[in-house]
Amino acid sequence: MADISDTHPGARPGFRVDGLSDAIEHMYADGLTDGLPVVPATPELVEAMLAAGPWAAGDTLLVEPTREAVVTAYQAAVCAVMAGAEPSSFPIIGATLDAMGDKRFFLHGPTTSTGGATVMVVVSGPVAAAAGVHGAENLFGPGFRANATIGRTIRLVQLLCLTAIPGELDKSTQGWPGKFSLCFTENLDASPWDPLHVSLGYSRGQSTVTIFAAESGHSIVNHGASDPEKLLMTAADTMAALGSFSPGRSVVVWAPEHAAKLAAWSREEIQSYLYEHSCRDLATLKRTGKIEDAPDSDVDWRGSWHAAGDTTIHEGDDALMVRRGWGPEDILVLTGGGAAGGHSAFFPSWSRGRSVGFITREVPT
Amino acid sequence: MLILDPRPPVPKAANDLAPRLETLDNAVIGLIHNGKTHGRELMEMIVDELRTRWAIADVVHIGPPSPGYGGNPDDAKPAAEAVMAAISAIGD
Repeated sequence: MADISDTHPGARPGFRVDGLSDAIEHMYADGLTDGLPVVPATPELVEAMLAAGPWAAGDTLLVEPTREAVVTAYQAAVCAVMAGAEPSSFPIIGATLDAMGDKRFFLHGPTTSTGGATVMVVVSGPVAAAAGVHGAENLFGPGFRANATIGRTIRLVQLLCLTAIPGELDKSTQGWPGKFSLCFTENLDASPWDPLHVSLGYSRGQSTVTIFAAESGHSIVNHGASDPEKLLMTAADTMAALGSFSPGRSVVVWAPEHAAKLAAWSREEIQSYLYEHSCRDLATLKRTGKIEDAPDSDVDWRGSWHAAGDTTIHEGDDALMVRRGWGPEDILVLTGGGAAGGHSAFFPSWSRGRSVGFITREVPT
Repeated sequence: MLILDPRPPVPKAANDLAPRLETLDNAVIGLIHNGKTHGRELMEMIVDELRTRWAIADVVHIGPPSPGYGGNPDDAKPAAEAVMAAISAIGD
């Protein structure tokens, strides 16, 4: 059997260096980085990474539909090593790449757009604990290898295998730190609801990844409310902020302190409440330029609206409420974070338009 | 010490450029916009400028319905075959 360093499926040959420091500096100079130092991907480390998944080195894990760019398991394993991922994370990484290739995700859009989205990766099921994916204190921040390196691998694949170089193919106006990595799991010990994968119809013994093209998160801070509806009003108001208001999807991650106060509400009731109340009047949307000039558009402002149409303010527009998204199912409700603190989070979808849907894949075991 | 590289193979040399036109008189111009708001209108303004210099025969618009879509090559093929020169732009 040929050595992978000879076959390197889908990729260019490697290079030789004299030692660790030389390797790191060479990779910086050659653009093999996300800005942070990367782990030099030796054949032994890449072989170990590949061995942790069910894929052969030449198997295709992702086809980017717009440019038909292919990412092999070998390329993904090299990126995973570079990111510092443990082999136990590789099945999660492979499932995430498979989800990203789903045509409904329009990967080219969130990867290249000025909107600057990241690929949010929510890991659900037993594989989360097995791989060390964290869902409690600082779940979006530093300190947890699986959270940091799974998302980092995904970014390195976009940067290096799909050539989404900032300023070239990646035209993010500002980007945001979540583009380094955004991977987490739910805090199930604190959640009043079924795990995400169970709510999607999978069994408790299965594991999944759910991806979302996310722009920067917004704080939902409320330390004073004990009434569930007051918390929901706070979240709905955050989701209706003009800056990120769109017909797109939403992810709301309730902190345990908030989730406990919402325990009497089902996930579906929360989704419905948030959909009904995260709204703005049409006159305000027109007045602030959130509705763009496209006079030929035939828009149902009460339902499946989009961000273009008649910009003239008509009588009654100030009473016509336009909701974020197209329905309650556009809002993903999760629990995450540490036990203390009234700090939840809302993540809007990429783009000022409809954006792309949530995509879920089972993680192979 | 051998270090592996995940990047795809270095692309081959770019395709040869199409022959350059000496004039746009009687030319059919293709306007390739990316679906952004007012992108089509911007391209029309460029054609208006070209019309002050040459006798443009016709203009064909090519572009996706939304910037979130890559467009369908089959849809663009007839227009691509009809044009003699194309103007493309990206932006936001």
